[in-house]
Amino acid sequence: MIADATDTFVGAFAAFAVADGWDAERLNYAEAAQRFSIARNGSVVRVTPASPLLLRLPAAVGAWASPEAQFHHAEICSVVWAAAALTAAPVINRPDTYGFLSRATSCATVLRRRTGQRTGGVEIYSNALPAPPVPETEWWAEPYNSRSPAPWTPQDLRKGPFRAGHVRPGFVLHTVVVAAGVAFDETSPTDVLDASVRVCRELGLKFALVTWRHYRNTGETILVRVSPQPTLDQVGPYFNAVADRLLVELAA
Amino acid sequence: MITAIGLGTDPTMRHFLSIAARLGERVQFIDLLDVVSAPWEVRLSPGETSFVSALPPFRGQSDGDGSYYCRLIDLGGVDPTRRDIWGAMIAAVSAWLELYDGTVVNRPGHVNDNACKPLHETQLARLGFSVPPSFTGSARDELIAFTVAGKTVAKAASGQRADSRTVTEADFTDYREESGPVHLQRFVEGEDVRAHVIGNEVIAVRIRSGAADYRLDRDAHFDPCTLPEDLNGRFRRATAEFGLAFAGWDLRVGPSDIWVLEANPMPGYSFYDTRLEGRLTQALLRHLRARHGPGQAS
Repeated sequence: MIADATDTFVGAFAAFAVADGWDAERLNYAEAAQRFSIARNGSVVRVTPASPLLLRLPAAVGAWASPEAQFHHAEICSVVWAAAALTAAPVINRPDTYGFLSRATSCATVLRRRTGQRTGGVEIYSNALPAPPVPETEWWAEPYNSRSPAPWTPQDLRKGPFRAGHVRPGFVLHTVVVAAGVAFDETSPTDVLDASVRVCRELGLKFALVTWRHYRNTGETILVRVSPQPTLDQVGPYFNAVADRLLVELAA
Repeated sequence: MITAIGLGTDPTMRHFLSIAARLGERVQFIDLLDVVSAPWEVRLSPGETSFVSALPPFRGQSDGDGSYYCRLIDLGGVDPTRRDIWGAMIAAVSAWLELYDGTVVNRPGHVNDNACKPLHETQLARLGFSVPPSFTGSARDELIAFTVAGKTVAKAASGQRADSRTVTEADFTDYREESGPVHLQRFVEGEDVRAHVIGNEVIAVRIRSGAADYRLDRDAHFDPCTLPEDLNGRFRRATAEFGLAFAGWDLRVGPSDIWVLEANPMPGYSFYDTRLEGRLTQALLRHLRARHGPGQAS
């Protein structure tokens, strides 16, 4: 498992794997980069060691890191990216030529375009809190990168830049955990579960949290977000089933 | 109207704007250094998107009536107090350009593995190009083993620094493994050639230099050259497959083979264009004058 030290999902997954009889090792990105070697001759490449991997996203380098530290961080991430992409061993959330996130993106409009999903409401990026062109109650806002959308308010004291948008009322939110082609959410209808699996396949993700807005009166289901790094809290009551499914994938 | 989006401090962007002006082409320039310092907004909605900046005053719409040449460089790494603002702006403008209906060079959302050299080189080899062998790792013994097996060049795996240099076993005498990883590639004898693919055109220049990195050689000599047409075709197809309309291909032409070192998705092409009398900019402008929607890299 390659992850930041603070990743609680990985901590729980490691314990689950060990209890299941696996040898499980947890490495941060610097340790992983030190561990891997990649030897290529023509199109034949060998990544050593060839261990099954659960890969989480790298933490950003510190904002005040020196140019040398930033460069070293980039080199470390690049080698982990390459090793995880090229290894013959199974990888959960294998990066590809598009990057660690493959085709996933935090921009909902682009995400829907890339996955062939129905379009949603307006999405705005701005360095200041945008003023809603629709009733305020149908507007949300979040500081960029926070993944903490909240109902829009003119008194929003959070620091920008912002991502904001419109959402039609009357929806139910469905949040589905997808693990190696299996969807987990007892409250979601079957078509939402199936769509979640399809979206993850489209994006090249084996483990993700897929969020939808479902309108019962019209039957519309709109893709809201795909998170390629579900937290332990987000996986919630499905942890054992999810971990089991991931281990099956890693054993393949 | 052609609009260029990038940094006014970027030599390649300044070169493009200068040559375009000299050729009488009207190009509007949006300097991201100005945009980030004033109000800006990107609005994405079904069928209608826009990018609005206060500085310079600009409004780009989604109707595809206009072309964009973009070099989106995020300065958040050197401007830490505004790192989030840079990140948000680059992400927002990238999204807007990816969804834009008209011509964008290069449209965001393309393959990005040039920032991961071991993967990039493997992909080039899998496309059938001859790519010199490489080794990437941190273990001193393994790095030395690769180095002593033949003339070797060290490069940045992330591509963040473009310099490359020859290395020998002696360079690893004081090497500490925690300072790794290191990306090594076998040096192949031959002449350097840089081929720029711009849409359907391939413009190549041969560089004669005694240095491992000709960009650092003031005595390097440049001659336009023509590559075999079947190879040109492969470069065009691969460039389009990467989702690009404009790429800089680094080659080494040996006595019996043409080796591909990399395909750069945001080529700093001014260095070559000044030696090609602006032919690359002219080709870029020709491509920008034509309409190429999403899904049509060239």
